[in-house]
Formats: sequence, C-alpha cells, structure tokens
Amino acid sequence: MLFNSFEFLLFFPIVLLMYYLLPHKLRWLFLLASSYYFYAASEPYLIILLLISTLVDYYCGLKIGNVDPRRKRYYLWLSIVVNVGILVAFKYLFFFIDSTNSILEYFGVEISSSEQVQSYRIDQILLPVGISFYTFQTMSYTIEVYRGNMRPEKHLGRFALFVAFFPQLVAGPIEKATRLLPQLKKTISPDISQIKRGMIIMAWGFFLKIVVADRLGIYVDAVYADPDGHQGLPTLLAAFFFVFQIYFDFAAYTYIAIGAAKTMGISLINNFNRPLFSINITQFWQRWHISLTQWIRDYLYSPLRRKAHLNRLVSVLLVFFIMGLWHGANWTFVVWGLLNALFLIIEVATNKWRKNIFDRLHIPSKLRSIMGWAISFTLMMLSLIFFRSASIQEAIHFIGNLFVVPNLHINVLNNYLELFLSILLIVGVQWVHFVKGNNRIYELVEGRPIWARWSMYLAYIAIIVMLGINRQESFIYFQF
Amino acid sequence: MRYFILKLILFFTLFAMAYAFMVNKLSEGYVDMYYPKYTQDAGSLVIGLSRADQGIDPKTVTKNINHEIDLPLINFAANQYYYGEIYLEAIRKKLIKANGKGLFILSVSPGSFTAPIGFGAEGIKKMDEKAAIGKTEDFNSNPNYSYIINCYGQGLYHALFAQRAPGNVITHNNGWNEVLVSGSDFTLSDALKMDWKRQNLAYFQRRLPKEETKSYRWEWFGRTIEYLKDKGQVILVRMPADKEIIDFENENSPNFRKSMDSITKIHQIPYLDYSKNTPDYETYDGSHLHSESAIQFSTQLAKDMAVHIKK
Repeated sequence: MLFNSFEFLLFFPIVLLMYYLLPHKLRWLFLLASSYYFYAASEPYLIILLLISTLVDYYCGLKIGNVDPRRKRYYLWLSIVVNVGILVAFKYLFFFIDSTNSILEYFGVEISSSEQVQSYRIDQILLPVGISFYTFQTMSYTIEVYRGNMRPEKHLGRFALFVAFFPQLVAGPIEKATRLLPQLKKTISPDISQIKRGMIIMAWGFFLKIVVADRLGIYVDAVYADPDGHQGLPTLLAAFFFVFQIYFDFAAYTYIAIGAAKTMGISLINNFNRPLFSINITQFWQRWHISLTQWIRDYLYSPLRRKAHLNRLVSVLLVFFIMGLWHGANWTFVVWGLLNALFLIIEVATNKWRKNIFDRLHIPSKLRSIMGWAISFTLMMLSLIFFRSASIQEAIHFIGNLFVVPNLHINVLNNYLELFLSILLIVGVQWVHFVKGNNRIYELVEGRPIWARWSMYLAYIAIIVMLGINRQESFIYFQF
Repeated sequence: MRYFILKLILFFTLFAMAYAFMVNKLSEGYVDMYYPKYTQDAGSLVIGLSRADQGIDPKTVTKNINHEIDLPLINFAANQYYYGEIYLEAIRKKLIKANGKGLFILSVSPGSFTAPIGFGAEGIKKMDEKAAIGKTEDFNSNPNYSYIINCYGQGLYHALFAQRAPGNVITHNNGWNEVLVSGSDFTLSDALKMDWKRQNLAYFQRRLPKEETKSYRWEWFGRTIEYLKDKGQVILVRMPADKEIIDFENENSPNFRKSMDSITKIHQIPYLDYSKNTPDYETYDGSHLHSESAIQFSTQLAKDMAVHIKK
C-alpha cells in the first residue's frame, strides 16, 4: 500500500482509532495484523519472505541467547546467511549471472543463450518491496543479541511486529532492535499533543511527496527519457532537480513514517539532518539516510577495521561498494557508491593541504563553507546522474550532454509556470528545513493562535488540492 | 479528545470538498490529450500504439467505409498501450455498444510486442498496469472522475485556466490526436522534422538492447483478436512510417512478417501492411503521420478495409 494513496487515507485513521481503543495486551496483535495487511495489499505472496526472515531471526536470537558462547556464532551466521540469501536470490541473482556472463563473454568463454538464462528469471518488477530494509533491520537484531547489547525477544508476536511495523516497513528508517522493541512493549496512552505533532509531520511528508518531489520528477523524467532531445542547460537543470527530487521523495516517506509512528506514541530515528546544506562529503554522509549509514558503520565498517584489520582506504571502498549495491542490482548504483567513496577519500586525504592553502590565502571560514557546500553539492549532483540512469552508458551520455553549451531552452515542459513553481518550491522547502531542521517541522504550526493555525490548515488544503500531482506515484526508495 | 476528532473531521471534510470541486471543475474543460478516449461507450475501436493514435481518424474512416458498423468508432490507441491482459480488459470495458457489427482496427508494429528484457508475464502485467489503461477503472463516463483522480498528471490548478492540447495537437472527441505541421502561429520546419526523426531513431537504437519480443504479448494479442471477432470485424494494420524507421524495424525484427502471416492465417483475418507504402504518407518525426497525411491514410484505409468487411 502506498502512503500517498486513497487506501492509506482510509487505512491509517482506522488503525489509529482501533489502536487506542484496544487494550494494551491486544495492541501488538492488531498492529501486526495491520502491518501484514499493509504489506500484503500490493503483493500478498511476497509476505512469505518477510515471515521467513522473521522466524529465522526469532529462532537465531533465542539460540544466541541460550547456547554455549562458543556456538552462538553459528546462529549469527545462520541469520546472516538466510537474510543475505533472500536478498541475493530476489534482488541480485540475475545481476550476478548477467555480470558473470558479460565477463566470460569478454574473455571469449561460451555461455548459455540469454533465452535459457531468462527462462528461470524471477520477474525484475516483482522485487519484494522493502526487502533491503527489513532484512537489514532483522539482522541488526541478531547482531545486537550476539554482541550482548540486548536480551533475545521471547514474544514471537512482538518480534514479528518489530520486523513488520508498517510505518517503516518498506522504506525505513532502519530501526535498531534496541530502540524499537522496547517501545513496542510500552503501555501508551493517547497523547493529543503527540498525535497532533505526528499528523503535522505526516502532512509535511505528503506535501513534499505530492507537491514537490512528484512535480520535480516530471521534468527529470522528461529529460532522462529523451537525452538526445535535451542537452546543455535543461540537462543540468534535470540533474539539479533530481538531487532535490530524490531527497524530498525519500524524506517525504521518512516524515510520513515518523509521523505515523509518533501518533501511536512510538519514536523512530530521524533519517535526515539537512543533508543538502552539508559543506563537505563527510558531513553529507553523516546527514543522509542516517539509519543506513549507522547500520553500515556499526555492523560493517567497524568490524572490517577492527576484526578484519582492513586499512581505512579499502574499508571505505568496500563499504561504499556495498552501500551502492544495497540500493539496486545495477552497476550504476555501484558506480554511484564508488564515486562517493572516491570523493570521501580525496576529501580526507587533502584535508590538511586544503586547510594550509586556505590559511595562506586568508580565506574566511564562511567563504570556505560556501565553497565547500558548492563543491559537495556539485559532486553529489554528478554522482546522482549514475543513480538515476538506467545504465552506465546512459549516465556517461547524460554527462556529455551537460557540456553542450548552446542549448539554453530550459522550458522542457512548455510551461514556465511549472518551472518557476518547481524552483520556488525547492527554495521554500529548503528554507523551512534550514530554519526548523528535519525534526522540528511541527513548530511551524505549534504554539500559534487558532486563527493562524486554521489559516495554515486551509492554505495546506488549497496547496495539496491545487498543486498536488494526482498520479499516486510510488516512492523512489520502494524499489530498494 | 472529542474536540480534536471533530476538528479532524472538519479538516478532512473541507479537504474532500475542495478536492471534489477541483476535480469536477477540471472535468468541465480540457483535461488532457487522452481523456476523450475514456469518456464514452464505443461500438468500434482503433487499437494500438501512438502511430495509430495520431494516424487514424475515426471520423474519416466512418465517412469512407461505406458499410454499416457499430458506432461510435473511437480511437483507443496511445503510447504505452501494448497488447496484453491489461489492454484487453480495458477493451472489454470500453466496448459496451458493439452488437456484432463492430469494426476493430488493430495497429501492429514490432514494437507492439516487446517488453524489457528479463520481464516475465507478471512483470509485464505490472508494468502495463502503470499505464492509464491499468490505472483507471472507468472507460466510459463523462465526466470520468476515475481517470482524473488516477491518471491526470498535473496540478488541479490547471482547471482554473482555459486549457487546450499542446500547441500543434488537436484532441478530437473521438480520441484522435491530430498533429499539425503548420498553424496560424507556427510551422514545423523540415530541419526540425529531420531532427525529430534522428532522435526517434536514436531512441529506438537505445531501446534495442533493453527490449525483446515477448510471447506474452503475442498470446494476449491472439486473445484480443478472438474476443473482438465475436463483436465484429477485426482488421490488422501496419501503419506507414518513414523508410529509415521501417527498415530499422524490419532489420531488427526479421521474424515479424512471418509472425503476422501466421497470425492472419490462424485467426482468418485480413492484414493490411502499409509499411511498404512509405513514400505515400508523410510523417512529422519519421514515425507518426501528421494531420493531412493521417486523413489521407484514414481515407485509403477505409477503402481498403471495405473490401474485406463482411456484409
């Protein structure tokens, strides 16, 4: 089920109402049923994978907590193998086959015909929604139990709810069990101020998705669909818009998830902290998709450095390779990840050298920040061209188009009003994020007199109705 | 708590009212170039992709066919409407007025039977569901709220302005999208037309390694023919296009002609192949007929079909 669908508009109020009407001891069951319904509404049989992941990690968690410390690593590996196995089978198998075939072909090795390979191919389009998110979330549980940071959860229902909690099931934030599980056990009484805050956060998410991200997507799609027809400035504008489209689209999902959970008295981790104001690449990765970067840092980067004793350079490259691949079974994502690794490595390696030069030239810190922001933003924009493109060749072709100078025709959609509106919305949203941050959006409304609040509510209705894009587009991160 | 719930109800009521008002307001004027295809029952249909959408004028066909057919004849072809389960389901819902004398012009080209490499039946179906034929539930109402809510891709504020189709396109009530090459304030230059053709060929080249012919599409094409044969006369048509485009298609789909021959034999239906008549009809981009050409072609098509229509 999509958040931005009419089904959700009915589903959510019913769930919220029932949640508070039911006694605490039944809430987990109701929320679990609702979460499964939410997930199964689009692809009923893919819920089996969710159940497998849940049951295996529940079992492994219990075993890790009970067996001889020397044997508990086997259960950790069982959890990792099953979850990574599900991911590989349903997301990466044919990517690996195709890549291997290409390599073998390059070296002149005969391979089976593409028709034979495709005869057992799982439909690309039926990639189980949210598979990368919930497998990572369940793995975090077994790892935390293995590390002794939490006791295994004995209640299968509550554990299943931790895996399937509908607000963050399909696109995160990826919650750690140490944070979410205790909250799911708490007795929560309805708190109107929290419900209001949650709804305001959700409303901001809907605005970002329906009005801003989907609007930017129209321009971006038009240019990417016809790279030969749009070169020069329109290509640059599409690349620029895509940076905001992906951010607002993903942030919108996160806002709705955080807001929905908040109305139920549950706090989710904030996934963003004004990432597009970052003044360097390191800062960007501390502020972008925080739940994933924390996961990668805690469960991949740190073990690689401490246990596998890999040096920093190799660890960073490996981590960003995996981070790229996590996003999708395509070399474009790998290139995107590796480019970011490269930026990061160069940034760290030249840090002292750059500081010395800036000091010698007496460049004030504000100007350094502005330059840092501009360079970081440009590098992000360039790397995201790979993220958006269907193939590496397309991305390179697109980058080549950026430098076709004579074309200044930016009015790709033959609608200057839409173009102006898109830019205005980017500026407006970024201003709000600059002033309020990503986690205090509710302060836009809170504490104001009733006439001001209702004026804002009416303005909100007008904006969503008039400017919202109707098509109920799915969120970009759903495909991951 | 009660006061809070009342405020919520008020908010959502206002929201629903504003939304309903704007949807209705939009439906009173121009919606988009595909909307008229969804606003009336049909007795006969033009089916296929964008070449048929722009190249076959139902009014001209009806005028020149000289046979009694179930009316109205609606152009129900558009970009992204590939043969498949979703398209057949849409056709079923659309054909309320066919009483055994329907005329069904099924436009075919190698591209009508393709889908991305790696996609199986379920994947293709899911992809087709994302087109307007898969998104809307209603194909015959005027106003068609289902279409506007699910398929209209812009802000509803457009309802407040007098809207019309993009510059050189006239959207007819029978579903035909007529593309003009000149008007009072514009003329498409030959250089621009050449550039569009070059871009089209480049687009086909780019698509080539990513797409493949699918048995799923052929299977559902067959089912569509069988379904329509019960409702009237089915005629397969390969639309004319510029030589470079047709050559490109033939080179990259060498079995297409054989497949069409076999389909026409199996289903015992006529197949009119205009791909060899490329110099007779002009396109504006190599692929799609412009206004005068479309009328000229529709006239010839009607005359050629008349020979095959059973009395």
